[in-house]
Amino acid sequence: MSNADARRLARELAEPHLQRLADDLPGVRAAILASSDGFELVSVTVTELPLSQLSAMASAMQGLGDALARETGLERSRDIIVDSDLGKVVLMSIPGGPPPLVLMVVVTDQSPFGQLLLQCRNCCVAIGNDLKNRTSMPASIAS
Amino acid sequence: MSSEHKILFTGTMGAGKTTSIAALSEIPPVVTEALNSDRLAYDKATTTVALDYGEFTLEEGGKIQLVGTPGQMRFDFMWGVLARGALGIVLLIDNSRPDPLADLRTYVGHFEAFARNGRMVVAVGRTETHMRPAIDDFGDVLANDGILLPVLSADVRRRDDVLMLVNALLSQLEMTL
Ligand SMILES: Nc1nc2c(ncn2[C@@H]2O[C@H](COP(=O)(O)OP(=O)(O)OP(=O)(O)O)[C@@H](O)[C@H]2O)c(=O)[nH]1
Ligand SMILES: [Mg+2]
Repeated sequence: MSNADARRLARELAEPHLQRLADDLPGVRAAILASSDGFELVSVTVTELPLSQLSAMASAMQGLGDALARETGLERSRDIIVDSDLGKVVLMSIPGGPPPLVLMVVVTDQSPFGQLLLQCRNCCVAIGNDLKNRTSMPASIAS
Repeated sequence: MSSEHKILFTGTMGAGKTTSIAALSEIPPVVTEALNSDRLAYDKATTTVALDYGEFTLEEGGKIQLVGTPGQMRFDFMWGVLARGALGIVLLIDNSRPDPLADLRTYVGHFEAFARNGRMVVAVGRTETHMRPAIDDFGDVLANDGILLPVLSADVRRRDDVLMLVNALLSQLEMTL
């Protein structure tokens, strides 16, 4: 499967998972799935945000997180959390790739931290599983 | 020159920022490469998403931090972050791109304070296959804007060429400091 196909598939498969996250989790402002080189693939937004810019930032943060993890002997970074008085930004890698993808979720302070982490993690696993199932099928069935 | 100083490498995607730092650094460089999903922009496997970092010791003993930016405009938020506190900038131009002079204007515009203060050198790459625009053309574009900077041809896969760029920047800085 080509890179472009993988991205198209990710877009298709991820949309309902992002929507569910936005519906179930209190205080979601945006949930964005981006490629690891910083392109927005699909997003669900509640309030207006600069999605392309945020996608590039998501990949830069993830790249820096991975570099930090490598330099400190932690191997790979999984999650990055930006914590502020007004809310949080959660960045999580989608497990299982390729393609390597990152989920960015922006929430207000209405979002309980434990629930935020759990539901973001579940969302990543669900997207990862869907992608794995689809990409491991023969092309004739997958399409 | 004493203690630690930072030199920034910038330029378009594929111009050779990561290659330059890998060529000159004395430590294994810190890299933030991600799978490149935009093979139309530049056909290579990976692209830098946050920074490159390497180190180089001057003969006098001062340490130079070599920092590379991502190339694409969508990462321009990183450019300002990385340029903070930099001594100077090596701007890499890929002469095989459609409009290298426009690339020059874009990056000089973005790092204008460095360019106007003489804290920049321009390195033109792939001149062996792409002779036009000529080195003088880059100087002319800058001069039209009242900017005077060294413009050099370089193949950043060669350590000596990268060293030459760093030395050109350092002597340029000595003149302006
Ligand atoms: N033929 C030729 N190839 C070059 C020259 N300079 C650099 N390259 C090649 O061009 C490529 C540059 O890749 P990178 O170093 O990743 O470029 P970069 O500027 O870091 O790119 P991004 O991080 O994606 O913005 C490498 O494959 C180099 O070997 C040159 O003068 N001639
Ligand atoms: Mg690079």
